Amino acid sequence: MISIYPSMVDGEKNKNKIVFIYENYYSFMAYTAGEILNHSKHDVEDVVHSAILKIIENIDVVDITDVNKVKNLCGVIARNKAIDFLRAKKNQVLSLDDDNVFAEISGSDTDPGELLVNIEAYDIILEEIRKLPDIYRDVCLLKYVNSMKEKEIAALLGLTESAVGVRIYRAKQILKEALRKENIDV
Amino acid sequence: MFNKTSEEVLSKAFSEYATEKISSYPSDSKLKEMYPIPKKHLTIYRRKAQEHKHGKRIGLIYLKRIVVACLVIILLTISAVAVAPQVKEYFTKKYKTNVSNVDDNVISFNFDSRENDTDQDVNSYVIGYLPEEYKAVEEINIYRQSRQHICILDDSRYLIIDINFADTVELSITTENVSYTVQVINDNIMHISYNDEEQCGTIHWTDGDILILISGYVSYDELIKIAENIK
Repeated sequence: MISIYPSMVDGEKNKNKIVFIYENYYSFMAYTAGEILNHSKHDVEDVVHSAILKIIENIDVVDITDVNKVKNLCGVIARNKAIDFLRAKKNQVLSLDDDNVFAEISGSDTDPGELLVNIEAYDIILEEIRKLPDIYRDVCLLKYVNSMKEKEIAALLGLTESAVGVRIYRAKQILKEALRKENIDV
Repeated sequence: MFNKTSEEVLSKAFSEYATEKISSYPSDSKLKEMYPIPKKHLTIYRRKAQEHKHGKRIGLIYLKRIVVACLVIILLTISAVAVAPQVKEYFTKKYKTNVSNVDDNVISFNFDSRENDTDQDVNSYVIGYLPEEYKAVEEINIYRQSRQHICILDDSRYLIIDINFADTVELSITTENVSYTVQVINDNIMHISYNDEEQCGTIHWTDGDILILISGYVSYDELIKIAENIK
């Protein structure tokens, strides 16, 4: 099977990337998806397959030189595909109303991205990141760990670019709120 | 204490979280035990891969291939049916003789148009030239409807000149390892096949209802010269 995925991409470099990811991170993706799917192996296989297809679609933006970055990317995609899979299985509709929140951004007088934080706030931020819902944290992981642009994240996760922007905005708002609660001036 | 923009802090914090999260997973070897690369579902993967590559359902891909294959077969069949008679007609018209079949290695001729009231006579032809070595061994056989000049030098060399009423003869010429040409000599269209390696060949033509055939181990020039001098 491993010979099939490379045939779907152009260029030797990209083919090597796919082989590398498949050989080294299949099990990692499966485990990540399995955490959400209660380790149902049959479902996990389908999810990992669709995750790999998604990686193939976006192979140009995948950087395999940093192990943590690759694992992060694979983990995020596998987790998102697993969530999509569960939603489809339960016939649930995404409840996140990204478009409405987008209006909040336009009307907001403070951009969380321009905030200054000091080092004391760092631990609080890290702790709050651990508590962030996956849907916010995943886009942030891709943005801040993999240095991906919002457009690339949108393509990878099957979202609109504005939805990605909204999720990042909301994540920052949550972090900002947490800092305020601790009376840290932001 | 230092200040940084939140973007830099967020990058650091999220990277630390990612490292922390990744390190919380079981080891790679353990993961591979838990989730080995599956060997089943190969067909499904292959189908999906094909669909992904072509951007279409696999059924449509195969349907398209089948339709294309059918069209090619139909076109080839039509071409073969259409062209075969044309080849035959081409030879018939060009060489003004009755080519009955043409395939890879053989051209066959049928001579069946003899007029009942013809006044032609096989004995009226004069053979004006024979190579010197064959003159000495010439044997002439004259029958009612044919005349043969048979010259046998030894086991490997002979020359035969055959003059017949055409309707009595069916002729096949091999085109394998020989050069096949058609030349006009003495206003007759002559079919010449010659094997350069063996230094032997055949030349034949029809004159009215008479078929003249020369076959033997002579040089190409000698063969032509013999033909030119049969009048």
